[in-house]
Amino acid sequence: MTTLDIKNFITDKVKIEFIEETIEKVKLDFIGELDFENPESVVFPFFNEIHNKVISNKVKCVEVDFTKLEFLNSSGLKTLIKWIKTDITLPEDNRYKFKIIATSKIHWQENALKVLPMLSPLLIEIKII
Amino acid sequence: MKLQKSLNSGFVELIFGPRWTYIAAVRNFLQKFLFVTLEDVKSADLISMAASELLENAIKYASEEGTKISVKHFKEDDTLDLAVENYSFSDNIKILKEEIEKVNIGSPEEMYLFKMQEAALRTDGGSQLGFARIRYETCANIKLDATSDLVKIVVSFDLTKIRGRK
Repeated sequence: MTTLDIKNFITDKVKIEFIEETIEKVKLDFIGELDFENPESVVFPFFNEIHNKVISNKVKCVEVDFTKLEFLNSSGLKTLIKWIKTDITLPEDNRYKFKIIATSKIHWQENALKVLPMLSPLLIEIKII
Repeated sequence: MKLQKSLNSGFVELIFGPRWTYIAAVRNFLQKFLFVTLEDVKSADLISMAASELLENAIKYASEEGTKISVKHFKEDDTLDLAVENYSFSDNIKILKEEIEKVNIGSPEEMYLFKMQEAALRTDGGSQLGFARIRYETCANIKLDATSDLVKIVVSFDLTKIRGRK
């Protein structure tokens, strides 16, 4: 696989960009502020498209890098949790891992994101740099 | 108009909208204001995050125009109160009251995780994760006062706890 054939998600406030697309790993950079009023109708379709392509291409890991994300509102966080839950509820053989990269320099990140692995400790890993 | 000078404490009050497009502007202003007042970027970041979550609620649950946000720093106690006031319908005030009571029951981490699980199942666009997030990330106390259709949510921060938290 060379590409998932999905365009980057770009608005005036936030950019979600594909950095790496291999069979081993798809890596996404989150840049800016994700604070939509209703992210479920705006961002979740993008996450869902990635989810479907990751499954069909049997990608093993999705890495989401938040180190350039200045702000994420709780509705945006919910959308991320919903994506993770969609993965968790798949049959075991189809599941892929989530690796979350966060930074302690942006203070909301460490606390807001460090509990995410508790949703599924075997599938979700977090690295705080 | 009487202007009161308080040299020992930071104080700010804004009345606006409420409109969604103001939220980021208010959040970014408060972050900068609090950084100057508290001289601590972590407290400024987390309190402005909390303000943003409260303002989102104010917009979602408002019955008419007008939201007041105020911040008062009590330097001697090393505490800070963040308050958001707006008009709301009685049904919405009831929802807010129940949500605050619910997140105040368990430990902040347990309730945050519980609300995360619950949020993933919601299909109405809302998350109802904001209060649990504020309490978990900042160890703050959250309370609601309602007089008729005017609702005021006050979040009290112990700044020593925020600075000391790993």
